[in-house]
Amino acid sequence: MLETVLIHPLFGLGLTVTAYLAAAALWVRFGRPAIGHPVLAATLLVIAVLVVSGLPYDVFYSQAAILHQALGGVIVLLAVPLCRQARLIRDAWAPLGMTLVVGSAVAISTALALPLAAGADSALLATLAPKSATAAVAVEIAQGQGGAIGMTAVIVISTGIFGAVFGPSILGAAGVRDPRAVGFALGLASHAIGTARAFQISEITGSFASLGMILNAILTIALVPLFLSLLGS
Amino acid sequence: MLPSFAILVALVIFGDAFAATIGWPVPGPALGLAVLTSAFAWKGRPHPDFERLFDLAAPWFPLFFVPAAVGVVAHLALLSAAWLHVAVAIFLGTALVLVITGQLAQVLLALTDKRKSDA
Repeated sequence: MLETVLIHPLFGLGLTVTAYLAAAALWVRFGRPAIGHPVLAATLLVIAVLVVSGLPYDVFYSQAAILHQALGGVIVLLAVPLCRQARLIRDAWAPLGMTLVVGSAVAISTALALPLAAGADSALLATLAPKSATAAVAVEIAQGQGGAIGMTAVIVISTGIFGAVFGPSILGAAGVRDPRAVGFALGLASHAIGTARAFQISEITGSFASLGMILNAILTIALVPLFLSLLGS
Repeated sequence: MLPSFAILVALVIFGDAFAATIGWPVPGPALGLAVLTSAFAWKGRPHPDFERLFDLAAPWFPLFFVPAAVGVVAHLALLSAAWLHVAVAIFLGTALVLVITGQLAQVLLALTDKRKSDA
């Protein structure tokens, strides 16, 4: 009976949604502490169930893949907040453009600094460099530059979770209060997961996060090959 | 709301197909986003059905990342060879990017706001 439940094609979907609802309820109950953000708590809860039940990750993933595939639709839906906030965005293009160039360069440099100092090989540099870009784009860049794409995907998602969980507190501690700046930083540094978090703060924060994510993805495509070729020469 | 859902799915599918055909590094949904944004801009505002769909989904956006996040833990062994470099890049690197980007954006936005209100 339990076996039949575990291998049901909808089990992973049900488990993920239930874990997320439980995590979200606990998060609200405990006053929304950063470390308790449901994306982290639900993930740990699902992992606990997989470990206890012995359900392999690949089987779980195939049962929950619809959620992952729905992300494409979520990205397309960002047209709604971007259009609603069009006036605010239009007024901010110059400051955001400048911030984008600096932020994107800082994202790549901080990923490369330690491996460079330690004399790591070029494959590791290519694997790490696109870490703040959204997963699909980062994997594409890493592949083009000879990085390890499985590792890039893990690093990119971890970066997103870190930004989503701790980003708002880090920005608060650094004195960043303007919702447009908070959003732009969350999206630029921690792509779609940071953007999802930003929409929980406010629609303005979320819209500027969408912008930060999109613009940084585009600029990272151009900057990573440039940085790596400069370093290689 | 169902027609807008169908259009959304179609935009993802054709975006992916188009991106794969021309071999761009840009993901398909980004193309769908560009098409839908252009359509809304043309009309002057987002279609109410899409607005309802967005407002319904927005508070739950982080849920969609859970299967991939579980995968990170399943594939942690991939990081073992370079775990220190990876940890520094993720924790220290991302924190620095957040602070520098947030501060710079805040200062520059305040300057722009001031110039606008002075004008």
